[in-house]
Amino acid sequence: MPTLLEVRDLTIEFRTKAGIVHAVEGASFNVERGEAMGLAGESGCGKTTTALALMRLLPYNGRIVRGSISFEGRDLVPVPEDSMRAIRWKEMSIVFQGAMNSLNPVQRVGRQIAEPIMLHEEAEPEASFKRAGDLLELVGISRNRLNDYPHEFSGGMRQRVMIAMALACNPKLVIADEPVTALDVMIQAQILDLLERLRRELHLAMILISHDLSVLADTCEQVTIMYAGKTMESGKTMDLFTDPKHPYTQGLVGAFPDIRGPRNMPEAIPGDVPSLISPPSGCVFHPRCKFAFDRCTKAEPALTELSVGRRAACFLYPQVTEVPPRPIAITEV
Amino acid sequence: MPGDPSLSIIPRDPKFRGLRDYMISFFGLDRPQWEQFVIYLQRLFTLDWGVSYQDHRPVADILFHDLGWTLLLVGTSTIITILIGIAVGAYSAVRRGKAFDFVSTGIGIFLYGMPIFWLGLVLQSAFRKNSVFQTWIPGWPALPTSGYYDDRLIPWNWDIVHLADAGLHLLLPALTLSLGTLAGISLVMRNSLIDVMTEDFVTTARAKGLSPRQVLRRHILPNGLPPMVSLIALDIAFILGGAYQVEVIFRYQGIGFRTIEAIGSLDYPLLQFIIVIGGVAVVLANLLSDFLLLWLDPRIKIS
Repeated sequence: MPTLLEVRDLTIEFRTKAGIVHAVEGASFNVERGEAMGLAGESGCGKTTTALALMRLLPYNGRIVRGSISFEGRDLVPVPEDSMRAIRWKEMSIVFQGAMNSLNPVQRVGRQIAEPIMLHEEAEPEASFKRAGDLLELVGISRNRLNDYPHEFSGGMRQRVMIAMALACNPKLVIADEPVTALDVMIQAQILDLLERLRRELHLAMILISHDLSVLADTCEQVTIMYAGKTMESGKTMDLFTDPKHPYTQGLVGAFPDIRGPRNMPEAIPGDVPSLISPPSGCVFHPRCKFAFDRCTKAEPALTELSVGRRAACFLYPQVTEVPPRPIAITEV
Repeated sequence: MPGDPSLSIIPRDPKFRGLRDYMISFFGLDRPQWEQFVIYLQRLFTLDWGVSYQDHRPVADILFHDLGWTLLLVGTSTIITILIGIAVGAYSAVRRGKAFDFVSTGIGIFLYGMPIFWLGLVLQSAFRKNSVFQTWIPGWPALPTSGYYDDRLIPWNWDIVHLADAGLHLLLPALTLSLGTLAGISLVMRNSLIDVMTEDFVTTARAKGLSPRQVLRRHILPNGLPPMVSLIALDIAFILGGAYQVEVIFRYQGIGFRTIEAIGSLDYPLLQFIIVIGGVAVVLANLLSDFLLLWLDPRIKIS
């Protein structure tokens, strides 16, 4: 059986008035069946764009320039929009951040959960609503609340509703884009436990997007670190956090306070995320990297396997190769 | 209010002096103004709305007759405007930045900027008998340009001939009024929908695999309509104002036509009651829109 999701060299551009934004460049990762993969990085580094691209939901000014998204062996990039609609929610679904705005405010939640069931499984309304009730109970909400509107729920409960909705058609992959960002810490823990439990019970694969490394450390088997649209490092969660290879990962892990050690102010990474319209030459991280040397400003490091299942893109490791100069893409402005 | 209404009823001739004094005291115009106002308020609430200086008939009788025709005109045009405005607005929101959007927005702003009376005159000269178009284009229709229905059909009768003729006479004034108010609705509809389209739940709806049409009908429109309802209710006053011009241009003798006449002849009781009706109409429209919003938007509750 082929790998569930295999993303190779995914490159996404947005056309804006200010110029072409290179939102994601050469993202590559795998998600196995039943496995959780974490996607981490600072704000604006292309995590959400990657998630939207997986479902082919990029805004009208964004497009996939290069690369492949192969889902169960089938490349989704060239699939026409009509056929893509049959895949959405049925095969993979998405939980957006802040369920506040992700639910339609003027529609009862029962109807919103039942909607994809009626659409994809052509089920009778009655059966769909019954299943919507079962799903609500699965995420710990009474089925009496099917007829309530989203504003009658608290933030955490709305996120539960969103998760119930994501499970409506028994998808193989759930993408959770910052699922706990707008919630307080207690509720965050509850929602993460719920996701973790459901994942094991339903044998789901999951992509968990977060800027909070502790969230990923808890739940994911694999982690991919992104920076300015590029993949910096990927590997098994424990390896990656205990022995970060890339200076950016080291910075992220270092910026995280340790509750056991001496109380030092965590170290911050100086500087800001670079402009994605005119990214720096060579390695995108070099302007902020304390180890940067001559080669980093000129050539771009390729994501190279350092040990089994461990990849990094940094010239500090001699085996890392350079990205071959890409053919100049002809893009009309 | 300026002027002496008695002068527009009785000539300024010393030999009518006695009659004039009698009229002035009959209508109470010799009392102090505050007293006149108290009497007016008292009568307003006891449903005695006064007698027209000009017609010598109770103003209620005159205006309820006129109101029927105005409601027909304003009602028809409001329904046309809302249906077309919402359709055009929705379609250009979906195709924003494309040709249809540019053209419809352009035409919309053009119509919005055009005075309604001028639009009425243009349509009249285009569709009158022996118009320029009729001489050059075979089959160009001629439409009636004044009145409720043809004078030859007087008196009114509830039969198919009268109804069809009234409908034909309604065509041009209703079209003028609709064109004048259409852009206000369609442009706001367009912007309201574009706002809704950037909401996260629209992305959720697309992620569910709904077609663009289903997303629009089930998720975007239900969220874009509430602002429209308030707008249309607030617009009622504006539509009534537009109806004044249309009614005069097309000699459509509704409330608006009567207002202009009453101003010309200083018919105060008539004018006062027209203003009361206008106020009541605006308040009623807003009340109705509040109830409609209550039904459309579950987040609004009466506490």
